[in-house]
Formats: sequence, C-alpha cells, structure tokens
Amino acid sequence: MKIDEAFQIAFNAIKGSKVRAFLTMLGIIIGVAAVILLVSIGSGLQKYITEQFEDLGSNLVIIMPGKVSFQDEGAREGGAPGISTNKLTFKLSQDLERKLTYSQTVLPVVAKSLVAKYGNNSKSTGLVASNSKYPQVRNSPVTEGRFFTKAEVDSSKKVAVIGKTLQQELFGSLDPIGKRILVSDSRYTVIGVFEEKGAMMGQDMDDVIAIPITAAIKQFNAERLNYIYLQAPDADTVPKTVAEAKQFLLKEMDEDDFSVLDQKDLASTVESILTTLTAGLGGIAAISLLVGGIGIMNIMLVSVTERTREIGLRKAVGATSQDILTQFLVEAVCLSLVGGLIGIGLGFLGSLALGQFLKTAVTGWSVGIAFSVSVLVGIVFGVAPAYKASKLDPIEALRYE
Amino acid sequence: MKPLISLNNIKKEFPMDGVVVKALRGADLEIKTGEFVAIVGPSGSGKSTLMNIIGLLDRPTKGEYFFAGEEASSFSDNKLALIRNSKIGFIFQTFNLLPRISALENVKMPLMYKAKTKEKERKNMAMEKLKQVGLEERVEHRPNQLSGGQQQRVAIARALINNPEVILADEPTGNLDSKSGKEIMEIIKNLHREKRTIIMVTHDLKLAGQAQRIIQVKDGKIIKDSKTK
Repeated sequence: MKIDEAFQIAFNAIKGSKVRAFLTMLGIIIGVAAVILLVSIGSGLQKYITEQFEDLGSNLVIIMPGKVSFQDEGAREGGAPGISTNKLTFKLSQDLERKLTYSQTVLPVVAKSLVAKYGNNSKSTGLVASNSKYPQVRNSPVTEGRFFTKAEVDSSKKVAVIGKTLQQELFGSLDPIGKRILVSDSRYTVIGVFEEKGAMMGQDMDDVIAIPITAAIKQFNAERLNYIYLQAPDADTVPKTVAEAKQFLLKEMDEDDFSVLDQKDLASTVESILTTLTAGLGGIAAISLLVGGIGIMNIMLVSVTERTREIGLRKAVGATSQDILTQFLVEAVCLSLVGGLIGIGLGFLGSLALGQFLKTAVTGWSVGIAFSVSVLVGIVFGVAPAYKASKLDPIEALRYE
Repeated sequence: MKPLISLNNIKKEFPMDGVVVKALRGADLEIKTGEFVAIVGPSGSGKSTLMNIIGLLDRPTKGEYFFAGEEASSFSDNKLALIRNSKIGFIFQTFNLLPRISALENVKMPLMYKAKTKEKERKNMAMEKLKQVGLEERVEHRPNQLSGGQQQRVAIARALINNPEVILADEPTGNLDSKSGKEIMEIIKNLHREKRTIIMVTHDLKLAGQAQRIIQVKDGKIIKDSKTK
C-alpha cells in the first residue's frame, strides 16, 4: 500500500464522522493554540522589555545594594534596598565621583513611594531623589521650567520636578511652575515638568516627582541609597567603569554587599527570566497537547473496535499487518495534524486579537514545535490502537458482530 | 495434472474456554483447477475451519497443505496475504462491503494492496468486473443504496478483481431472498463455465446439488466425497 492511499483512506474515515473527528481534534486544537498564544505573549513581553531597556539611557552602570546574582539560576537577591545590609550611602557616592577615572557622572538615587498634595488634590506617586545629572543619565529631559541645579542640591533646596501624570492630577490645567506642593509632610516648590515618557513594564513613568537627594536625606532621614547610576562616556568604557567601581567598593565593603551591573547584564537577565517564563507557559500548554493525544488514542481504539470487520476483510483480500498498521497510524496522525493546523490558525488569530491590548509576537519556533509535537502526538498515541488493529486475526475479525 | 489444492491429514485444534476444540481431525482432500466443489455439513462440523485453511486465512495445527504445488506451512504471514490478494477471491454470506465508499471503490480495494497498478487501470479493471456482474449502472452507489443481491454482486466483482485461481464462497446466498439467491448462483455457475475453480460452503443441500462435487463434513472429518450428475 502506498502512503498516499493510506492518507486517502484516513481522510475518508475522518469525513465519514466529522463531528467525532472534530471533537477528537479539539484537544490538539486547544493545545496547539494555547502553546502558540502563550509563547507569543511571552516573546512579545520579551521584545517589549528589551526595547524599553534601550530607552533607559545609554552606557549605564548600576550599583545595587546586596548580592544580585544573575548567573545560571536566575535572579536571587540578597539584601533588599533599605534594610540594614544596605551599605550604599550618599557619602559613598560622593567618594565614588571623586575616585572614578572613566566615569565622571555618578547619580545616587533614593526611591520611595509617598503622597503628593496640592490644595485639595492628592496623589500617591513615586519619589526619585537624586542630583542634577538625573535628566541626562536617565534620559528624562525637562520640557517646562527647569531641573534643579548642583547648587540647589548642595544646599538641600526644597524644589521639585514632576512628571506629566502627577501634573495633571494635582494641577489640572493650571501652570504648576512656582506652585508649592506638599510632599509627604514637607513643602516643595515646583520648578519643572518632565517630558512625557509613557509606560514601561506596566508602570506609568510620568507618575513621578524628583527632588534633590540632599533634601530627601534630611526629610526622610534616608541614609541608604536604592541605586547608584554611573554613566560611562561611551560603550567601550562600560566594562572599565564596572571594574573600577567594583575595585573601589571592595575596599569599602564585602563582595556580597553590592552588585555592579551594566545594562547588558540587566537586559540579558530579564530576557533569560522571560525565556524561562515563556518556556514554562509553553510547557503548561503542552500538557493539554498530551491530553489531546490521549483523546486521539481513545477514539482510535474505539474506531479499531468498530471497524473490526473492515480490518478482517482487508486482511482477507490481501492487506498485510503492516498495511493495517500504516492505515491506522496515518489516520491518527491525520487527526492530530489537522487539529494542529487548525490550532496554529487559531493561535495566530488569538495572538492578533490579543495584540490589540498587549504586545504579542508569534515565533517561528513555537509554530514549528507545536506542529511537530502534534504530529508526534498522533504517532505516539496512534501506535497502540494501530498495533491492536494490525494484530487482529482475520477470521475472528470477519466473524465480529 | 497436479491438483490446485491438496490437503494431507489436516488437523486443527484451538483452545476455547480452557477446552481444546478439535475442529478438524485429519482431513484429506484434493481439488483440481476448474472444479466446482460444495462443502456441506451442519454448523460446528468444521466446514468453516476447512474453508479458512483452504483460503489461507488460518494455519492448520498439523498436516500438509499444498496450494498450487507449494507447501503453505512455511509461508510467512506476508506471503499468505499476497496469495490471498492475488490468487484467492472471497465471497461472504454478509457481503462485507465497506459502507462508506462506493461500489466501484469497494471493487478496487484489493488492488490497493498490490504493487504497481495505475489508478486509471484500476478503475478500468473494476468497471470491467462490475459489468461482468451486471452492475455497470450503479458503480457510484454506496452499499446501503443497493439491494442485498446487488451488494453480493459487488462483492463478487471484488473477489474477481485480481483474476484469482480460486473463488471461495461462504454461504453466498445465505442472506438473500430466493430470487436474488438464484441470480447469484447463476453468476457463480458462469464463473465456473469460465474455468474458474469454485469452492462453496453451504448447509443447503439443494444449493450444493448445483456443484460438480459435494464434500460432506461432520465432526471434523470428511465423511463423503461424491460427484453430482
């Protein structure tokens, strides 16, 4: 028997019981569609985050408190910022600025969430306390008014620059420049508004208030820094800056008390986390493929029993055991293959539809894997019924009622 | 002339519910090419087992079976399938047509298991056989759109498709009314006139009388082998 004839018999058998064939395929359809959809969400997220990292600012090196290891086993954070193991201080950042040779730009950051008020309007927002280099390092230019100066930082002046979202919440259509707002329990004068940045990783980057770090240290008694950003002059000096910063910090504290990362580290870390996540999502979806395969096996076993006489007849007129095996195996593969193709189509459509709300990207490998897995499922779960069919005794089979 | 079929002390035993059933207890039989033989006997006599062994659907427990001069016990399952495909045509009491496909497709079906026949040639061969049984008008009908007699004619056309040396008919008129039964017997007798070897199993002695030779089986043994007039 030629393989194309086996396919023809299989398609005839499927056509002969369309509803049953569809229900049998449903497991595979859902499984394949789920794999493609979930993987497309995962890789869309990955793509999006990678793009966002590029917007963060260029040639950045980030010093974080505690051990942040992004090797092999993914993220494992030691001391979180603000707790006693944090040994990053403002004074340390000033020392760094003096000692570093490659990087002249050191940006200490204290980050907090708090409530800002103007008149009757109040909004909880994210505070970023830093120095005058913030707009340059973080790629956040000021469009209205101005950012605070080095002199204002040195004198702990109570001035603030706010993001667009905060501006709209507190002032509406009023001009915010020169207005005095209440930040937690202290009054600050608004001197500028940041350019609109939009959202990043689901966080509104315009819901922000920036004040001089010295003022924050006084107001909140905040000794510890959340981050120190260093900006290298160009891409080539990034590794040297990392090395120099590490060398400096090791004199001040233990290896476990800090982490120095550059953007590439961060990006690749997040990417590796997301790859794991994507694979995990795909894996969970693949379980439904397995269930779909069991469905196919079940129906094929029923089909073999129902068609016992047909098998007996085919054997009587000259079909060998291999012919029968091939026929039923091909039928199982056809079911899973057609189911797989429908599933791929649905996965594509689903990811297009979902693309209206969040970023999705259908990847070639997920389609390839979903397709080959569905064929494989057909073979694996088709073997047992097909073997059963091929071993039927023609006399018994012909006598079967 | 060498006999086409030669059984030499054939025994067949099989276990059933823990008891060994002796279906054949030593059968000797020779059938020559072109003979029309009827095998008769009550149910349970072993005539079906005999038929299955002659048709190479079953292997004897003991004894020698020569089919066209070759000893069949040494044949592999695939070789048996090949002989069934090309040298034996089966006609069943219950027709055994595949319900989902047309008469033409049913007749073509055995060609699927035979190498090297082009689709167009297959169709021509099947059409020719359908014409021979007088069904050229209904080739696209499915079995459930045909009467019992017509279904059996399709089954005969299918049995003839590879021009087999032997036609094995198991109660070919058992499920038919007497008129259709007569028509089917006419077709079978015509096949005999074309010098084909025909072996028919039946419990109907009147039907058996239309053959040249009647072999009576009882309790797993051939008790009588006689020529009809």
